[in-house]
Amino acid sequence: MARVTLKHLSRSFGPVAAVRDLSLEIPDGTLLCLLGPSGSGKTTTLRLVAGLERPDSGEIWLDDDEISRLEPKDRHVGVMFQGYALYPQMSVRDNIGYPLKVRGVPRTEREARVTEVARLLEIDSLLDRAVQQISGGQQQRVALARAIIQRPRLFLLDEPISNLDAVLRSTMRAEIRRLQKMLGATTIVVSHDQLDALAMADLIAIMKDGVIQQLGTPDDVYYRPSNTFVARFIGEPQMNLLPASLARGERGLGVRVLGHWLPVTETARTALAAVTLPDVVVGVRPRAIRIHREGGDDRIAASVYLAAPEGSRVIYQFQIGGDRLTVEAEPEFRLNEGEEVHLELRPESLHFFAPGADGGTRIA
Amino acid sequence: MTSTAAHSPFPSGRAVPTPVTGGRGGLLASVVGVAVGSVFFLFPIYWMLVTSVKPPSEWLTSPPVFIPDRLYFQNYTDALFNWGGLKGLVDSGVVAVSATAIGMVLGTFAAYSLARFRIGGTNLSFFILSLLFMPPVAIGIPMFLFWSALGLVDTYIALIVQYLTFTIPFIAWVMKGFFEDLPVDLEESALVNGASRLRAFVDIVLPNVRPALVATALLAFIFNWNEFSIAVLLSRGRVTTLPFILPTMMESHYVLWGDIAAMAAVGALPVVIIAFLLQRYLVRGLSFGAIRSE
Repeated sequence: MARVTLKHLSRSFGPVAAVRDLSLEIPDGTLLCLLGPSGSGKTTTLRLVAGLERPDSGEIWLDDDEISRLEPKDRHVGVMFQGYALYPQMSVRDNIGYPLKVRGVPRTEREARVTEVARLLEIDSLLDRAVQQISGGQQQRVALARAIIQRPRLFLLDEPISNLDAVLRSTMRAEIRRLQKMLGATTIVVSHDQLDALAMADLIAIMKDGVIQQLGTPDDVYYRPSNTFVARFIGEPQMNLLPASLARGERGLGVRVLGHWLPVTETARTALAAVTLPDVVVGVRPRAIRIHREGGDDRIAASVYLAAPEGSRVIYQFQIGGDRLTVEAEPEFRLNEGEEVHLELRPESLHFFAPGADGGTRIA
Repeated sequence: MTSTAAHSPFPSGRAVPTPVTGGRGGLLASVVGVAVGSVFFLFPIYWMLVTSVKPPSEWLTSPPVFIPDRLYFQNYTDALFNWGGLKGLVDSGVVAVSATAIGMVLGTFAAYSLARFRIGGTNLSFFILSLLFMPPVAIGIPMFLFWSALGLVDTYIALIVQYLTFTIPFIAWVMKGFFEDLPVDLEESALVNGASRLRAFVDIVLPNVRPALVATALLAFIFNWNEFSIAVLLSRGRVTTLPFILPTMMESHYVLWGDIAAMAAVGALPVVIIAFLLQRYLVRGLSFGAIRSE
């Protein structure tokens, strides 16, 4: 397996820049998830690494080999396509064995390796079936088996979960993760679903408009989003982003938000002190807000605008003056629409970003 | 309507009209329609076959003889041996098989590159399509002058190459559509699995368009086998395809209808046999486009 290094990769399609000056290093044995909305360049990045697209500029390295100009067949990467791309005219066995057949592996060894991989993915009973005769989940396992049988230096999985139904999704995420760990395989997964990324990845690269917005561990991107785009893209329901201004109060530098002055943590205060403009954006996750029936210090009065019970949780929309705030609460805590409560936004749960329509960078 | 019928306590055949035939009247109408249509299309073929086995005395009688008393095969031996039908079969076969085979190889590669690499942008593929709109007589004189300057009038080469100018565009155009319908993922997956472009084409693309290849080849073969106007312009009597021979049989004072019918039957037979052998592919080839890479 291998370390992957992308250096200043760019690729345009006509006037559209799909990938812009993208640099990235993926350590050996790491599962990296390229996460982003459609059109963010994540699939193009994957195709550049696979050799199915040529970069306009930039380099791709596998360990100490530059592979940017190699044909796909000479790169030794295993790819699982979004639609699985199983060959309709071949049996499951021939599909899995195809990469070995092309590379001239003798029949007996081929058979042995197909059986071994099929057993690993628990599809050994399906080997003689036609690929149209098996279920979607089974087809995916066949596609995975075909990708790993040639023991590639790198795995590329394009939207591996998206074609599956909800029940299979979490199973398959765990399965891919198990396989990746077991093989110690450096892997790039493309997904638009943050759950895929958070559940599978060692590293997440969040992309927008061909540019990586943030590269970090799942904890990094969730707890320390680098800008408002990432803040909104990760986490469900979305993080609340509120216009605010810095204001000095009796207890020192704080932030004025939703018509209230709120204190901030010591670290935030240091970072905010360096900001010249008073305007900032305050982010707070729906889970981090506490609901109280009684008022108190630093609590904000709010009325229930909408209550959406979802079984294991309730999503509330609160009205505060002209603003709305989303709060996720335990299902036991039931409020009626129109009811008056008090919300607590604890200093340690606040994120601060520079103002800007989209992508305001993190201050603290 | 259907729900009441489904729950009706008196199930009967009449209570639930079948939507396709629209009741008994509709069924009768469609049977009559099919019968009339069949007679209309099949009678000329029947008449050709039946005339080919009639003795000369029954060719033009009034009222016509619909079912001859006995089979008269002299027409066939005359057609094959006196009128050069045997040589016609060979010449037609050489020209049509060569043009179809060469056309399939070149046309299929052309179609693939047009479909996958957009060679020549939109202009080249439209130019290829436009070749099919061109009536052969429009290029008759320059074509003849070209081949006579080369000293190749009345040769296999001339006919084969000339037929290719129509066969390749036809095959390229039809196959291009089939290639475009094939998911590109399949080939890309072959490429990353270690195959070269050519290997991916042979291993993955061709097997998935095989019914289309067969159907296209058969259509191209029929076109080449039946071709008349170019054959007339480029033949002087040494290379004589069947469509070229047929009209020469009508030049005498007395038209030998039985011999002509026998020659026509000989000419139709190979196409019928091939179509019959390949009908399994034909149905799939003509209803192609349902392949998906689930």
